[in-house]
Amino acid sequence: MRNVSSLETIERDYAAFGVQFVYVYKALAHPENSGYVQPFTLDERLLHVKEAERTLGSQFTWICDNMKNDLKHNLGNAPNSEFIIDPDGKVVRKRAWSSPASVRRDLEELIFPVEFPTRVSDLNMKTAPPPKVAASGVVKRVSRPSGAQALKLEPVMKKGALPFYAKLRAEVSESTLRNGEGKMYVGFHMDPLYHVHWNNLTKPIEVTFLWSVDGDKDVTSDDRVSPAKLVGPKPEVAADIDPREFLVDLKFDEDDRKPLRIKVKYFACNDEQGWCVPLTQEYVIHLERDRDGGRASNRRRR
Amino acid sequence: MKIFASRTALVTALAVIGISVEVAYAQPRPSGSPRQSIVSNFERGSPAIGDALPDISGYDAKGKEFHLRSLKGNYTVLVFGCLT
Repeated sequence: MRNVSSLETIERDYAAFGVQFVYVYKALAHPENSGYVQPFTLDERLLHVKEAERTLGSQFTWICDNMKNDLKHNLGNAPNSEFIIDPDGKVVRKRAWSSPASVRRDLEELIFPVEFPTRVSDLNMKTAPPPKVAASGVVKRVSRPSGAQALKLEPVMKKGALPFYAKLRAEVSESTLRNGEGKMYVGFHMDPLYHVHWNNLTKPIEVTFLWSVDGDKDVTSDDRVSPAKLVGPKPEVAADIDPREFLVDLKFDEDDRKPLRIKVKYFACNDEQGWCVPLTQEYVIHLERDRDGGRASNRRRR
Repeated sequence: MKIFASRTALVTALAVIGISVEVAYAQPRPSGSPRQSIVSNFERGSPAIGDALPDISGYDAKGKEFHLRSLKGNYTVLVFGCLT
């Protein structure tokens, strides 16, 4: 989204000619940058749109992809592509990577050159930093397996339940997926859009890989994962927003890719609203790559 | 003699490094780089120039259904992006 301000200058110049600029908000390309994580619901993706408006200070019209990512899939699957659509609704220009300079040239050809183009410094866009509600950099990060890719996962949503304040991301390398053996990264990331933090004054996060569940009581650990029970760190600070990350051994039969089931218990607190709640939440992790999961390559801290 | 031997070794080593660097730079960039693969997937998987946008929908910023084909009547610049 580095080119928003340059595009905005073109929008200002061509608004008088009726040109509209529409941003399509899609799945995150680089989750964990500035702490942002993939949304689980449409409402959460709409929160992302609001956050993009707030942090970028843009005046653009935003539309939001659905949770099946249909817009992304049907328009070329690229993270920062662009199209120019003519008044009849037909594509007249397209690019895999957005280029504001090229868009300006296109509009000069298609419509009219602007004599005195708006400059970014003319815009006075009111940008804002990402939210940060507690300390960061207090829990040591875990290195992912080389070439790790996101696995498809489903949060088990229960009607009327609280949101998944801490969101799971699971990754394995391509060879682990192919051969059925290797390390798996499991990370729980506090979603910054809820303005929540971990509560280190109580029990740390507990994670269990389940094989079978019988009601709420009879639970067997999944022996494909070792260790199948994990307990997070307990930092000395009372509150923080660092992810809780683990590296586990995964071994499964290549012909039997029964999904993993994972239960997590943790406390989340929101100081602005003055609450702290215990949560028990579950996920199903599919042993297949999530092609919309993005790549957490940079992992910039908040 | 010793000086001659070490000088020969140095010259040989420099020549090997020089050739390696030249070979490395002469190699074409791997065709399967992530960026190239994004571009080729985009070219294959996006509407062609002159085509109408597909009949699919998303949502506007308030959560109301938005049909892509409603983008008519004026020129529209449609840009994909996200927070990261």
